[in-house]
Amino acid sequence: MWRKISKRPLGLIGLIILFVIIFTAIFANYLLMHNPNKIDLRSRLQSPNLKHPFGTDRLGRDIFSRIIMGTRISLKIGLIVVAIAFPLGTIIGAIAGFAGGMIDEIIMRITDIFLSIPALILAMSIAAALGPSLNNVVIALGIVWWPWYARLIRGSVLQIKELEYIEAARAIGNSNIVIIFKHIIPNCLAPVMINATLDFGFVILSAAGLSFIGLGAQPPSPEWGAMLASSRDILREAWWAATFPGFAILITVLGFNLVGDVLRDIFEPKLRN
Amino acid sequence: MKKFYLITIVLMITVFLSITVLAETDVKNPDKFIFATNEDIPTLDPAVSYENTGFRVMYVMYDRLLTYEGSSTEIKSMLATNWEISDDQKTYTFHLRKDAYFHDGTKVTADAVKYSFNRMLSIGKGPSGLFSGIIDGNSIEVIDDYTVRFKLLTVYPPFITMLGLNCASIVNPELVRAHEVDGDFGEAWLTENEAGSGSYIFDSWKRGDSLIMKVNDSYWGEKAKIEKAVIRFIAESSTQRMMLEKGEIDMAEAITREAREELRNTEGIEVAEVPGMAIHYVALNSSKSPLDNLQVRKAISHAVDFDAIIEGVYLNHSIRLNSPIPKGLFGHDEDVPYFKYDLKEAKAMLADAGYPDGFDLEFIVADFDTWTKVATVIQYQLSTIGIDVKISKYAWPTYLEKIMNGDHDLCMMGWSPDFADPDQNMYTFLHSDNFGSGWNFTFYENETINKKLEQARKTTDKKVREKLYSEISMIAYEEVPYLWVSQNNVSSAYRSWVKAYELNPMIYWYVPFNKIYKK
Repeated sequence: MWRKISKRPLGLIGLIILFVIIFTAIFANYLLMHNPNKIDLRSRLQSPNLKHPFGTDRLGRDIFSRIIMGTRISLKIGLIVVAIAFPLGTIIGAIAGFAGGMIDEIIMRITDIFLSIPALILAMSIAAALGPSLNNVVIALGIVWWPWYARLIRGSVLQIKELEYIEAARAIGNSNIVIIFKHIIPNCLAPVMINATLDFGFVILSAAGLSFIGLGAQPPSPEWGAMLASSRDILREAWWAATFPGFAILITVLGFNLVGDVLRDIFEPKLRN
Repeated sequence: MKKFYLITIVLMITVFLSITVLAETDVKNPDKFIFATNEDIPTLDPAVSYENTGFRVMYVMYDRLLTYEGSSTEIKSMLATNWEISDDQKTYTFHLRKDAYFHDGTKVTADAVKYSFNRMLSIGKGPSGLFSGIIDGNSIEVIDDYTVRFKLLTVYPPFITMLGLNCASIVNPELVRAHEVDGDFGEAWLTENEAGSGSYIFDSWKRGDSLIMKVNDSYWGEKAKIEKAVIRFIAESSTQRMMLEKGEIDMAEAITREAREELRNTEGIEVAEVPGMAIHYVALNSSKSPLDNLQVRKAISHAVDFDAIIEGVYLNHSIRLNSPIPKGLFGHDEDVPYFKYDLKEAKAMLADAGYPDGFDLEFIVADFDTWTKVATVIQYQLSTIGIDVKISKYAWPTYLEKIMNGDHDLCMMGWSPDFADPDQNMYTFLHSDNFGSGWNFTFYENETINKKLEQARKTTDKKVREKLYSEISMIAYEEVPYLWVSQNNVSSAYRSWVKAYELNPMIYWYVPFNKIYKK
């Protein structure tokens, strides 16, 4: 496994990025240079310097410390959303695929309804209806994300359930539930896992987007999208205030995508072309 | 050698060309004045509109009996040349000028005045509330074609200053009646049309893009100098700045304070700034615990460093505020103290009130940049005395609904007086009749204040009124239903070729389209 990854330099870069990000998120408290929410209006909009490596924002808060804290927020969002969407989608998809017939039709038409609306627009309307907060963004994204997994899993299940070992499992008297959870789901997880890694990046990006338009993180939360939004109109007067949060989003999403791509290459060589 | 010459000549031409390009200060679009805003205009009906963006254009398309003009906050004659006020201060008689015509050529008469006011009262939307209890459908009497009389329901000294309000615009009765549908007083039609007699005529409007007005060549007063006045809707402030620098627009409304500083030093661009009367404040919801406790409210007022906010958020383009009446408005009293930043005192008061460890509050704000920043600073400063503030940002309509219901503990608000009298600010902010939908978001009830407010709006003696307003301001300081945050300068960035531009400290949305010329 390691040999396979190390042969792909992009994957290696992705892994390093992920390592740095996860490390930052876990040890955020020890990496801070200042209290990320400490307002010091008299040192507002300082350009990057030794005391403030990424400068300060309009309220004199240290951007470096805020980005460090923001890492934790972004990773947490990614983790929770995937943790909601992944099992939910997997179970629903597996049931649909295994049961077939009417149940399959109903479940898949419902997922189609979800998929027919652009993900971000749907998430926006759900988040707006629930009221602006990070928790609601997480719920909204979770609701939007599961149909993708459901569809993916269903496809795999349709292939697997015709195989002989399922027949065998049924022949020795296993119940449907046991067959689904013990024999089917574990055998079609690989593509979904890869998808989840890729999704991590997209989820973080979407959450930042929702915060950017004011539906997500509320002040003083150092969420990257919110930081970007509050500084974007002074890009010309103080480039650092919006640039660094933007970079943080860019690098994080890139990291997850690179790793996801490489995992796909390794586990699904057929898809390589 | 020949090559060398050739190169030199080419170089010289290039240098010459680039110099001429740089030095180009020729007026762009000489026949147009282009104003950029980031706020949409919901309606052009003066009886319905309650938005600054709409006022700005209607103010030059319609005439009023009286008006505000240029940088003055004194009311001036417009359609009414002179007027008499009866001894009991209840009857106002106006004499109209005889040379005023609506844009379709019909005369502006006393009938039109009566129709316009009754139309506004009958439609009964937003701005008409300002006149409720002061005039009703039977108040206006047409004496002859050019004389109209208002009989007030009550003595109300500010009445005369209200005739310069945008909603007091005189509409063309025949034209409006012709477009009436199901008894709507032509509201549907007038939303996107105009029926005035002003110095500009409505030309065209592409919603979300641009609104164009053309000059009225047969205007009774001084004719506007620019052929076309254009309002362009440009959402991003950075885009507005760029277009202003390129000269594609002549004036930009939404320029950040940071950018304004830089534009001040840019050649070809002027930044004008005068002290204004628009104020920002925080309402404390006194109907809820623990803000119903006076000691708690006082503690909060001492825990916020307003000087730092003026410096760091408003970048010193605002001044401190001590009461609902801003400096420059009649009734302002400089002897009313400003809140003093004193953390020790604040902590002691909080402990005294029984909350030594603080408590939680919800601060609701509309998603405006400056308001959010102020709220974030207050959130941080209150955290230093143990009060945990949660900020919730909402879009304007949701926000308004929430605070009208009293869902908030704290909420941020902005306000500018519509006419030159303190009654509007005072009565709105502090009278218990105005709780919620009347824009008093404190739910703070004080019988003494109520009585003094009622007395002040009926008193004609200026000295007595002044004293009453000082006393009310003082009680408001001691009882802390509000945190007064700032009184803001009016500012605008525009091309140097725009001449005769004036800012008005009170009606800060005002743009003298009819006076501006380009050179």
